[in-house]
Amino acid sequence: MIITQAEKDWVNKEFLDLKFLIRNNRVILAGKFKFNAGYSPSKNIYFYKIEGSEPIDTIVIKDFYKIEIILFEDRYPTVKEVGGRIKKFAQKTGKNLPSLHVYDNNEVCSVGVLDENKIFSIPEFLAGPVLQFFYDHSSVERKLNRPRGEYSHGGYGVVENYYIRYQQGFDDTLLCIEKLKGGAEWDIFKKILKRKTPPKGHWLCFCEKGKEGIILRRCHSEYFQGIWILYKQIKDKQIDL
Amino acid sequence: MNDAKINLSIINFIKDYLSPKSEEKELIKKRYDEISRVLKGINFQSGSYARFTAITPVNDLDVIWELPVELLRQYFPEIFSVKKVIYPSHLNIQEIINDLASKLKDEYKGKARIKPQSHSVGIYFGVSDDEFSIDIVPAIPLQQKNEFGDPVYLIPEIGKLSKTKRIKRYGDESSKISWIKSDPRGYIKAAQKINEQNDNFRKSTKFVKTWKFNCKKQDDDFKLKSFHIEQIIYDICIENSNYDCFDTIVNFYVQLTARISGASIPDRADNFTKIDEYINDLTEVQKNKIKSKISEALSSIDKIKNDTDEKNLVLLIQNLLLIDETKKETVKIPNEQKPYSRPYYKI
Repeated sequence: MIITQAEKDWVNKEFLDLKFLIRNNRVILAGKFKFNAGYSPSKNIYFYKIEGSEPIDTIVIKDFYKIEIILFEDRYPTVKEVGGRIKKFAQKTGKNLPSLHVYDNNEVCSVGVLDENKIFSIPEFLAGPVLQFFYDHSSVERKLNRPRGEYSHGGYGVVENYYIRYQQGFDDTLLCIEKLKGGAEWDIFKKILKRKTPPKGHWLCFCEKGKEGIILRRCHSEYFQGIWILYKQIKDKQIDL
Repeated sequence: MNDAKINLSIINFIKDYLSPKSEEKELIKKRYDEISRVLKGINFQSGSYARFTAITPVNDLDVIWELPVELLRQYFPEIFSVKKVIYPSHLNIQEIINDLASKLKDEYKGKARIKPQSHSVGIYFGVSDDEFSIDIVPAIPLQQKNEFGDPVYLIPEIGKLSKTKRIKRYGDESSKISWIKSDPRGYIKAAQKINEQNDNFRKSTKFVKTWKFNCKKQDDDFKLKSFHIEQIIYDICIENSNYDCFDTIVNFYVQLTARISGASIPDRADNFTKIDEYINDLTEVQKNKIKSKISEALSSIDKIKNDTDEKNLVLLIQNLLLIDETKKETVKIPNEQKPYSRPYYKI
């Protein structure tokens, strides 16, 4: 990620408690990430700052998190919540950290793994994925839904992410396979993707609801559509698994 | 204000605000290197970026891909027949384009959107098509050589269009895209040579292109072409090797009215066509719009010359270029942000 002076000026103006530091030859943006942001369900749009002209249904949240963003030249930045707030919330509510999309080392998973290829400028990154992640968490703490929803964990989430990106015009077939191969459920996916016939929507869902007889198509339909497209792409392109 | 001071300020302004930034150049180099690895055979950067006359932000780069002989033999054996006659209208490179697009998709693995068109492949690195993109334009080398001994090429006509016009041209399915002679290497070498003799060529071109860009922003019917500007400045530099940057810019505006009276600049690849042929198709209204902007520019130049306070210089240069000071060098992020992906956790 290249940072221009104009971008630094923007960060200093919009998030004045964040500072650029150099640590171990890496550029780090650290400090309090303070926001007064909103989300309008009718427009399905976030506002990274409240200016007064937002739709009437905008849910405004004013909050802050102590964060660190490690910037890399050639890959998606790492975002950490270093104040321990999300960990404390997990302990208090009896939730486990992964369900809040946070790793043990405080790193947060702000976007789907296949979306990590997008190249951002630092202002786009802060006003987009970073703001949305922390706004969403604040929503959860306030017993509201996550506006963006969330991907399933592990390979199932990768397949859902693959499907959404496929709808947007991206073909991530090879990358998706690569990510699935690196995950714990590869044997399950390999079996499905090597079948002579495509996966079926009436299969029982992989989640807990599957045990209650709920079928894939009615439960995790994005996963179903994703695995179906992936299956077809593998056959069409004769990709060797 | 004395001319030397004005000249120095203009050169500094071009360097600070108009030339592509070093980070930008590094990124473009990285992108080009990635593509070069996928393309078999000879390929090279073309267009204003390759001639070092592009202004920041660079939003597109053309890569000319010399179709390898083995592909030509496979798809167009008639090229190698005894008669050696090429019928451009017979060239259907869709299969080659699709094959290349599929290889690029594998290479980029979703990091970019690959758009195969009938005569080129676009690689879009941002979410919208307005962000930086690279277009790979296939080319067939001809036996004809330019004055520098490099081959002249046969390229699809879209290769000579700007990014916006190219998209429009692809959208127009009523007429077939033809192949034309082009000398991209000749223009690159000529630009390099003239800049060695007079290093104001590139700077002046960037300056006037910025003016043109802002005129167009104010009025979409401002029809002057960037490549035409570059070639007029080329002529000025050839004829006046002692001109400094400011002299060249002033001379450009002085000459421009005459230059838009009719096409006059022959194409390097083909003397029978002119690179400024579009001038003959402009209406009087369109020509008058250009003339009106020329007089505005000349009056801004007078103000620069007559100004006595050095502090005003940058502001006056901005006025000449029609730059709104408040918009210069600032980052604008729209407050409205669509939900970006969803949170995820890798087990």
